[in-house]
Amino acid sequence: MQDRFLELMNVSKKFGQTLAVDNVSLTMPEGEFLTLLGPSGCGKTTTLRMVAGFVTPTNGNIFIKGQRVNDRPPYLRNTGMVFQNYALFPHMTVYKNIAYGLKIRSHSEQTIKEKVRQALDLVRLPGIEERYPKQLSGGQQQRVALSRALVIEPDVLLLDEPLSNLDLKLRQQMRLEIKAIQKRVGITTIYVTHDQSEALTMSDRLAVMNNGKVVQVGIPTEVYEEPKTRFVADFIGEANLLEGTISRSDDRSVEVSVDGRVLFAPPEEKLKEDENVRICVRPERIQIYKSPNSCATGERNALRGTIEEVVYVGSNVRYQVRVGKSKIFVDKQVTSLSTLCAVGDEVVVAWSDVNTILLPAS
Amino acid sequence: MYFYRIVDLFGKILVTAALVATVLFLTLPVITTIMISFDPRAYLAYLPPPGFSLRWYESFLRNPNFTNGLRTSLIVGGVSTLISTVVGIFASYGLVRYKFRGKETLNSFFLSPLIVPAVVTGFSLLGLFSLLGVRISLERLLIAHVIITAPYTIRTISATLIGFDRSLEEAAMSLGANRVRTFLDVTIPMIKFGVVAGAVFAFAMSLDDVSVSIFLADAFSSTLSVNLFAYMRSTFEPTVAAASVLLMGFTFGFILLIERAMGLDKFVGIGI
Amino acid sequence: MSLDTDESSGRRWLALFLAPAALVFVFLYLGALCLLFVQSLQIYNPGRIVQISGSLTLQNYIEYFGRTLVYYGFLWDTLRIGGIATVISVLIAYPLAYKITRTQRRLLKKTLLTVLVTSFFINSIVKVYSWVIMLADTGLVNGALASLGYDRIRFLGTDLAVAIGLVYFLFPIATMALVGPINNVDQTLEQAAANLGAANTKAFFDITLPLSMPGIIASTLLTYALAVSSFIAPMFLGSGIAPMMSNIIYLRYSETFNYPGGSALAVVLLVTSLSIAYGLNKVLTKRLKGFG
Repeated sequence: MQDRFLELMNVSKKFGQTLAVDNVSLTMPEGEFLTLLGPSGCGKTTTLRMVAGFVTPTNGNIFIKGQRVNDRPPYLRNTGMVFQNYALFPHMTVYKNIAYGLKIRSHSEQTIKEKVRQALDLVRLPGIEERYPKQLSGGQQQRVALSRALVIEPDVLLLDEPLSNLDLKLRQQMRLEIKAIQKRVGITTIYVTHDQSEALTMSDRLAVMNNGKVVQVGIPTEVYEEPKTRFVADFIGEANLLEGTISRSDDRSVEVSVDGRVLFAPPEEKLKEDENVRICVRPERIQIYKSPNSCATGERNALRGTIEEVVYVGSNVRYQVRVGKSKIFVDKQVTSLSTLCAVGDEVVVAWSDVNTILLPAS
Repeated sequence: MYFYRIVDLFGKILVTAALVATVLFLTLPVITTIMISFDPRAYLAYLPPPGFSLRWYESFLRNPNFTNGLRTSLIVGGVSTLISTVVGIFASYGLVRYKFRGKETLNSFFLSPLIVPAVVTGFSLLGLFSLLGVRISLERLLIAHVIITAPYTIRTISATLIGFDRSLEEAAMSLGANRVRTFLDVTIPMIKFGVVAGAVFAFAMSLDDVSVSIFLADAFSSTLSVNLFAYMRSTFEPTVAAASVLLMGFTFGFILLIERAMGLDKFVGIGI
Repeated sequence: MSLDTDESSGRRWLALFLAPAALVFVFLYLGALCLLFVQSLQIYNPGRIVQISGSLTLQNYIEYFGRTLVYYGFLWDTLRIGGIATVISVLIAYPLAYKITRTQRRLLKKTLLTVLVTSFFINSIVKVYSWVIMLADTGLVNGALASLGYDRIRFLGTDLAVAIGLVYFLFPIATMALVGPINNVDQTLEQAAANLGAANTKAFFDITLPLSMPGIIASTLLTYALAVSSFIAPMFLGSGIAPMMSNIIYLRYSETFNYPGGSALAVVLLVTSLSIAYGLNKVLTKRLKGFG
C-alpha cells in the first residue's frame, strides 16, 4: 500500500494571462477518496484534467506510482475518467462502450465478455449489454460510464462532477453507491464537485479550492469543525461571523471582546491580546432560550437578542436573531410546532466554548 | 503502444501534407492569374513574365463591352439583392417562427434554385419570359437574379433566426409591444448581422452568375460575367486576367463585410 | 411570436410573411419549370421559341435518346467526370474541415477559414481562367515540366482538366458542408476514447469518423448534384471536346434555337440532379431537427 500513490507537486496552469491553477500540491495514498471542492472557476476541473493528461501543466510535476507522467499523453496514463456528460459513445452498444478500453488492451473476446458482465454487476445493471446509450436513463448512463472507467482497472479513478445532471433523490442515492463501489474496489479516486454535502459524505479527505489555490486540505470533520479561513468556513456549512478583538489569551481559553461583550473560545497559543479576529459559530451549534437562567452549563457564550424572522423548512426551522448590530442565524430541529418561537420574542442565544471557531480577521 | 505513436505521427504528417497541398492548390491558380495580368507579352507564354505592364488593364477599361457589363452587373446585383433580402426576411420569419404542415417541403422549395442546375433555371426562365412577353433583357435579368439570390438570403437569415432566443420577442410582447413593434424593435436589430451577411452572399452570387444570365442577356443588357464568358470563347487574352484581378477585389470586399457582419466561423457553420 | 396556435390572426400574419417569396417562387420559378416540362413535349416549330399546343409528343426525347447513343454518352461523361471530381473534392475537404473545427490555434483557424471562404467566393470566371492558364500548353504546369526537361502535356480538352476544374469549384462547398457535422461530434467523446487508451488515429477512426458519416454522405450527395450541373468549368477546360450536359443544352440551343429540343435535354439533366438531391434530402431529414 503506497503512501505516495498519486502526487501533485507545485502544479500550476496558465491559460494566456489567467492563472487557473496556482501552485497546487497534493499527496494521496493508495485507495484514498479525495474530493476537490470549490466554486465554479476555482481550478478543480483543470487540476483533474491535468492528472488525466488532457491539459499539460505550465509548472510542476505529476507523479503516479512514483513515475512522472507530465509528458505522457492521456491514452498512456491508465487513468479512468467519468465525464460530467458521461461521454458514452452513442453509436456503440453498452457492451461495446465498456469493452472499448479492454479491446485496446488486447484482451481475448472471452475475457472481455466476462469482465463486462462483472462490471455491469458491480454497478447493478446486469443484462443491458445490447442497449444503446440513448435508451438509458440519466442514472443508468452514469453507472455505465462508471463501469466503463473501472473495467480497465486503472491506477486512478477520476470523476468530474458526475452527479450534477441528476435530480436530488438520485444524486443522494448515487453518492452512496459510488462510495461503496470505490471502497470495494479500493481504487485511488479524485472526485470533483461544487456540492459541499457531496464532498462531506463521500470523501476520505477533501481539498477546498478557490482561485486556483488549495485553501485547506483535511478529513471532513476537520474541515468542517476547524476551517482555517473565512472562505472555507462559509463555503462548507454555514457560518455566523462576528468581528472582535482578543482581550485575554491564556492556556484555558481565549476571550474575545465583541461589541462590548465577551465571548469565549478554546485556547489558541498563537493568538495574542489586542489582535483582531473573526468569530465563527455554526447555526446548528447555537441554542435558543427564553431567559439566561435556562442556559446549560458550559454555554458561556450567551447573547440577548430579538427574533426578526422565522423560516420553517419542515424538518428544521431557522431563526434570524438580532443581537446588537449583528444578525445571528440559529438552526433548530422542529420537534413539534408548539415549541417554535415567534417573531418579536426576546431570547438568549447561547453556545459552548468548544463551538467557537476563530478565524483571521482579514 | 508505441506502434500507435508511429501511426499517429504518420497520420499527422499526412494530414499536414494534405492541408499544405490544398492551400497551394487553392492559391496557386489565383497567383498565376495575377501575374499574367501584368504580363507585357501579347500571348500566353511561360511564366514568369519578362516585364511589367498595365496594358491589359487598359484594354479592359477601354472595352465598352466590359465597362457596360460591369455597370449592368452592379445594377442587377444591387437591385435583385435588395429585393431578395426583403423577401428573405419575410420568408425566413414565416418559416422559422411558425409551425405548419408542409413547412419542410416549402423550405426545400425555396432553397431549390441552389440544387436545380443553373442552366436549367436560365433555360426555363427564357421560355417563361418569351411566353409572358417579358422582352427587355434588363427586366429578365432582374427577375432571374432575384430567384437565384433569394435562397441565399433565406438560408442565412433563417439560420440567424433559429439561433436567436425567442423569449426576447416574448418578453417584448408581455411588456405591451404588438407584433409589428416587436418585429421592428427586437427582431430586426437582432438579426441585422445575418441580414447583412445574407445580402453580401446574395450579391456575390449574382455577380458570379453566368449559366442563368447567358440565356437572358442580349446586346442591350448583359452582365460582366456573361461578357467575359463570350470573350473567352474566342480568346484567352490576359484582358481576362485583368478583369479577374478586379473581380478578386470584389471578393476581398465581400469577405471583409461578412467577417465584420457575423464572423467567418459562424458563416461557415451555417454550412450550405 | 411563438404562435403555434391556430388563431386566425396568426394564420393571416403567416400568409403575409410567406406571400412575397411564394409569389416569386411559385409563379415565376415553379411556373418556369412546369413550362419547361410542357415544352419538352411540344413539336419544334422553327418560327417560335415557345408555344402551347394541345398536341404533345415524345419526339424530342426520341430524337436525343431513342435514335443514337451519343447523348447517353454525354450523360455518362457528365456522371463519370462529376463523380470523380466529387470523390476527390470530399477527400480533400474532410481534412480541411477537420482542421478548421478542431484546431486550437486561433490564427491557423482564421487563416484556413479565410482561405476557404475566399475560394468559395471567387468569381467563377476567375476560377476557370486561372486553370486555363495553369493547364495551357504554355501554362504554369507545362512551364514547370519544360524547365525540368520533360515534354509538354496537352491538358485542355481532357477529362482530367475538367475534373481538376470541377474540384476547384466544388471543394469549398464540400468543405463548408462538412464543418457543421464534424463540429457536432462531441469532443468529450474523443477525450473519453483517449482516456480509455485510444491514440489519436484510433480515436479518430473509432469515434469521429463514424459519427460524422451522415455529414460525409450529405456533403458527397450535395457536391455530386452540383458537379453534374456544372457549366463553366467543362466549357473552357473541356474545350468543347469533353462537354457535360449543361454545355450540351447551351450549345445545341445556340446552334438551332430549338427550344423544345433543349427542354427535353434540360428535363433529363434536371431529373438527374434532383434524384441525387433527393437522396440528400433523405439523409438530411434524418439529422435535421427542423426549424422552430
